Amino acid sequence: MATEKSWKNELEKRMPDVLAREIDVFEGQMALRRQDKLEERVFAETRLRRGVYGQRYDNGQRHDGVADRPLPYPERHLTKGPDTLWHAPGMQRIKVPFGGLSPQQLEVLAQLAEEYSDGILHVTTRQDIQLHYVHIEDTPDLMRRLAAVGITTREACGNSVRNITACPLAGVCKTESFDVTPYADAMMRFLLGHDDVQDFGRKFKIAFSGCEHEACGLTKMHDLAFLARIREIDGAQQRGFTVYVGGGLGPIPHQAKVLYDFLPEEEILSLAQAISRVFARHGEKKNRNRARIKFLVAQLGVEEFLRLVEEEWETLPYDERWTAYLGDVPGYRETPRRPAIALNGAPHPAGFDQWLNTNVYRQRQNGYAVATVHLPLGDITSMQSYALADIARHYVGDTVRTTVEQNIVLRWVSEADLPALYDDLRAIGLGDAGAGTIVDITSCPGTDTCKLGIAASRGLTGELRARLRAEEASLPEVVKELKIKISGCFNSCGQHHVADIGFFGNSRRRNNQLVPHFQVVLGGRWDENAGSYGQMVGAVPSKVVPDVLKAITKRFVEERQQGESFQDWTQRLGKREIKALLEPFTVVPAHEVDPRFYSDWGDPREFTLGDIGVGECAGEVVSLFSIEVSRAEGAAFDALVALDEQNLAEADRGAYRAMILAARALVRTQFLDVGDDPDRIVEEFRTRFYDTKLFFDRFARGKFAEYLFKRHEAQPAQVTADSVKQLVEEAHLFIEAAHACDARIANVVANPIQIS
Amino acid sequence: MMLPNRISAKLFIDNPQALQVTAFIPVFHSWIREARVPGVPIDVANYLHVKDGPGLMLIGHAGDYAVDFRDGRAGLLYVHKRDWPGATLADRLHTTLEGLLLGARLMENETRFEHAVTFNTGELELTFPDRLNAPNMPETFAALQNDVRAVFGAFYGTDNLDLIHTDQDERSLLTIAVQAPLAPPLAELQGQLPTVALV
Repeated sequence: MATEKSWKNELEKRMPDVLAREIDVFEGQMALRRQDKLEERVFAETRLRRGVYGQRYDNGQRHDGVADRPLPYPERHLTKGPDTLWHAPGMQRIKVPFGGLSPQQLEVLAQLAEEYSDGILHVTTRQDIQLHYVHIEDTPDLMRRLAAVGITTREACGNSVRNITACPLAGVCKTESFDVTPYADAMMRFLLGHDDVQDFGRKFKIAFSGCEHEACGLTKMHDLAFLARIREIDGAQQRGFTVYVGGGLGPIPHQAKVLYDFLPEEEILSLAQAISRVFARHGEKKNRNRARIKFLVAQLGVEEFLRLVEEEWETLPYDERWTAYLGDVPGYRETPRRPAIALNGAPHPAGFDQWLNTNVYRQRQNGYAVATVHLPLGDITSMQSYALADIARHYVGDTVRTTVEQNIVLRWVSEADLPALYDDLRAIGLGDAGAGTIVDITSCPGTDTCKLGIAASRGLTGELRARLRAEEASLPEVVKELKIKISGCFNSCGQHHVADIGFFGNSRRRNNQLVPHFQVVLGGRWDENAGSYGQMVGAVPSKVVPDVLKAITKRFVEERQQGESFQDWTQRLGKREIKALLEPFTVVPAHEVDPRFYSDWGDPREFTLGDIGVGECAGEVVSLFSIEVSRAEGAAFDALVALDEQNLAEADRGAYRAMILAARALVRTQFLDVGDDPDRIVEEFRTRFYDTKLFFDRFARGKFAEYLFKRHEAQPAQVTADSVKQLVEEAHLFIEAAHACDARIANVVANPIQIS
Repeated sequence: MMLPNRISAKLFIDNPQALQVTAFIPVFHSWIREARVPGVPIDVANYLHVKDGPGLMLIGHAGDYAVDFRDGRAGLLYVHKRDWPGATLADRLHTTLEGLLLGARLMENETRFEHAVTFNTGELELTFPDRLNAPNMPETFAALQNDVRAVFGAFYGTDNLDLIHTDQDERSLLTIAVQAPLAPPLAELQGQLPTVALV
């Protein structure tokens, strides 16, 4: 029989088994959802945990500037989540742990952008890559092609551990304690898909920093963060971390608290596991607005939180992975592609000196430098990505990283190569100077693609960038050094709280019409690991933001005292003065006088809030059982497909696996640490659900459980079409019984029987 | 049989120096509002800040338009990406060409531009963003070219048609330059669409 041409078949031998199987399960869950056999909320959370995110207008409605109109997608009855149409394009987020990419991975990302998206790779503020306008039916193949080069999208969204970020200079930085890269990598591997990170009420973000006083990994704004430290004990140096917990931006920003001043390196993974359990057990699940760990830490106080963590830590079953990676840490290093040669005095290309000044960081290792490729709005085309992959191969090899400032860095550039590298980057439109300066503005997607966006953060960023570029040469140095960060709403994905000058989108009703506005946030600190958060000082119409920026920077230059930072200046100026400074800009002319005020940057439509949808940042809060049993359903579906294709052995394995997964889903409601061993799962299931009769149906009694026991105890010596067909049916019945059991238990808990 | 699931076609603009790209933003929005293009046009995406990129896009469910600058050449690109009305390669090529010519005519007839946009019909770039079904290899070009020649020959005349496999880099998408030096103007080409619809 000829094998059908598919990415699944083409890449079968190149994907790690675990990733390949997960993608198959997701594809099975998609098929179930299409048949309405998987609840839409459960499927929504399932796809989010695969990085498959919603996008603006995916409820099938759009305001076209005149009226709200339905978008006539085919099969409008089909949904991929509450109020989210199946055929509406979405965003695919791709995790890039610590931002590390190889040229080959960059090329594959570019290919995916060309084939499934719009030809653009977007670097996010958490070192991820996002592709927009992706159809859900393309996502399994997209994931397979990523898996074949060692990338997973698992837990890129949803209520789980998101991408683990780290300083892009880790390992080459002059001020770091040590290279945090292998620790970030180990943390990612340990927590990816871990049982203890599946039952959170909200997302969980982890970061690593190498040094205290730079922006580095932004430890103070993360849910959990690790700052590298070295201490000396009896003359021996010991590596460890200051551990921060409970930080976060969003509408209500919190600075992280120190949980441990110094935690030895061998304890960080087990600590993260213990914290995950405490968050899963005690974190808010119903009110999503208060479900991040920062609220739990604030509510309990850091001392009580620590007590709970340590109590949990004591009870954790030992896991050899906690320390297994440490043996490889001393050997972890990147290999430079070219020899270290200092930059010589030969004539340099035009523009090089400015680029050298802003985009190049001299590494700790003599003769090497890090070059920042400044991406406008975090975007790079597929063609640029291919060329950049070639450039990376030539100059640096595998040492490419994305940054939280939405750029890409090439590490280990031999200094003598810098002029040639600059020329090569310039030839592909990536040689812009100004990285890390005022022209290098960070922006979330805003109303371009985000369902929650209120104002056009990217439109404003593009406008400010163009204007600042035009006058860059004449800007005072103290202005050039300022950072601007822009979010489309208060949720702070653009990290406006930690910029010198931040903006976030909102709206005001003026002259009986809605007018896009941006709230001005001043005085945030990027360095010192996001050392302090800015203060809101007033909202101004979107169209005057460039003028507001000019007024603020002009006043800063005029009034700044010797050596005074922007933060200190805003403190000294005070809110009353700042408000007076903004006041003239808050006036909105009538529509007939100046209609421009009533639309946003880059979008000629009359401004409306009607396109805001229900955000998926918070994921769907569904029970641990629902999430886990959906995997069983996916496996059962795969078994059905295999049966149809006469692949009997595969169908047999799939049906058995489906029952094991369903049993595990039930067991995990009582015993989180059951693990993956089928023997253990069946044993625990028997003890907890069969012997106690909790699993028993009123009429069938324990019959459905016996399907599992029978198959588990004896793998068939020979599988026939009839025997497999029966097993597949039994697997489906077993899953139904698991659902019924969960519902019975939930009902008992909700309505306890009154015993008189 | 090779059956690519995504096909794009691009016509180059005759007078790129007169192009005011931002003027297309309200035009694309009006195409959505006034249902000027078939299918489900969804939104406008602006990538004018990247060099030689997709420029300005009108994103749709089955197909996207772009005032496109790839390879440094300004043009209108149409990519058809799903919901194919027919199963054959010829049908798919025809659908793509139809979408492109419709968009190009709308642009040439657009009165809101300060300078009218015109297209060079003598050259068209055909790309296949589907590496599974149309990998960039000489064999693929050989397998596809008869259908390409049949569909495009119906417009341009088979004697007036050269097909060139332009980019041999395996990483790149299969790209075919369709050259027809004696091509008629756009209105005439588009006028032929109903008659060639049965090809």
